[in-house]
Amino acid sequence: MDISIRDTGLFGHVDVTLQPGEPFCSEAGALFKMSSNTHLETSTRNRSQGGGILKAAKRLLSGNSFFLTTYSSKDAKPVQFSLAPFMPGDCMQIDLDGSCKWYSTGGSWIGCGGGVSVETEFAGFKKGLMGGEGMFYIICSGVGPMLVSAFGKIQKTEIDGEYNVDSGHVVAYQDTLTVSAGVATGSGFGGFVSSAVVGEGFVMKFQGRGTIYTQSHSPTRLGQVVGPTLPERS
Amino acid sequence: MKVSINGNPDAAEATVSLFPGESFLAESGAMTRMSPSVQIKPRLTGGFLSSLGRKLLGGESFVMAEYTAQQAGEVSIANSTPGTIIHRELKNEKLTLSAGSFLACSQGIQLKTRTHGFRQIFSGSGAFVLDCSGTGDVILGAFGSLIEKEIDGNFTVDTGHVFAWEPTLDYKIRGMGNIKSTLLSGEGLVMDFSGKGKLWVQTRNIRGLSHWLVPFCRG
Repeated sequence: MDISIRDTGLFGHVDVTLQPGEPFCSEAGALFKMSSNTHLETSTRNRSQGGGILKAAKRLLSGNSFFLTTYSSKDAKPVQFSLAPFMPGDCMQIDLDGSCKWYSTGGSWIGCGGGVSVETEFAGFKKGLMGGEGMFYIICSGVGPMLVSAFGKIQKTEIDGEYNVDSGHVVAYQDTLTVSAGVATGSGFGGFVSSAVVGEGFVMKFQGRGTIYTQSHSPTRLGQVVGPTLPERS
Repeated sequence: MKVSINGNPDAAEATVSLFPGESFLAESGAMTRMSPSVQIKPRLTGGFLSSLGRKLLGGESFVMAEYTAQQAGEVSIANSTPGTIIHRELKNEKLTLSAGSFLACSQGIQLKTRTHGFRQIFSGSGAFVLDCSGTGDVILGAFGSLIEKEIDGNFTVDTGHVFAWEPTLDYKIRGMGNIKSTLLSGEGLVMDFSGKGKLWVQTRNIRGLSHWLVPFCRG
């Protein structure tokens, strides 16, 4: 398998070359070009995960049009295809070494290959809904490459101790970190009010030791700026 | 405070490093991530009425957030739109910003909101401008990239693209087409600058993006 991230700046995309027999799956809408011997199967099921309607519904809810596409070769030759995320921004490859799981927010995950398996998790009201990010997380485990995208630039932060991230800016993080939803400042009701008033609402509080990738921009905030300039829904 | 900017020109994020006890003001919602030792407090700038006016007509936020570091800490901020961020140090100087350009400023910078007249309400970039004055740091965020222009004489810019200018420049707002096209489209207003000074122009504007989106809106 050969994965290369093309183009820096806001319009990154990913070129993938697969040898016959190598597994790879991606978010269903991400493919934009492929060699003619590529065989696609889009389903609610992939090799590493139990399928079914419920899981598919979960994937839909996570903010991606979440049906998985699996790739294979029609003949015994290598296949080539390219993936592009929806939002303008960086693409990045994270190599999983099996030592921990990676959580990725619903809209950030593009795909994974090799021995990486995918699960979804309902983040619950605490981490998800109130945080303003998709309610579901995509969890990758195993050994192999995982691909994520961002709105804007991706920034890496090594956390040792405590760190707060606005929930709309989380791309992916290691599960060695514990996460809780909290207010940006203060505590209790007073803290909630002042956080809401300054437009921060809930932040994700990370604790422990591990790596997190954040994105410079938040799709929700862009929506909040563009939304009021659009005509009302009737 | 120390400012470092990452990701220009297309999707910048500014990181402000604060010494213990230092604080700065930022547009509400601008924070992307921060050290846990930093406290946030809501602040009304320029009083209640001017804050309200800014919110209703100017497209800026009603309250700003004041970040104070108990211990040394970092706060990263970004604009709502993808684009360039610039950092200016004012030394007893003035800078005028279009509504929406402001991202953050240090203590020692005074902010004053003022209107620049009735016609600007239809311009799509808000009826208000923000005057920054004093000594300190100002951080500004654009939609798209920024063009810095040294004006000596006359220069004309679409109102939606005017980002910031030095108040040594004089300006007038006028319609480019007739009054009907101006009212109907919200476009066609330009600012005629004259005099000597610096002007910053952003290469994208929200109104343009939303005009493009409207035909795709359902219902």
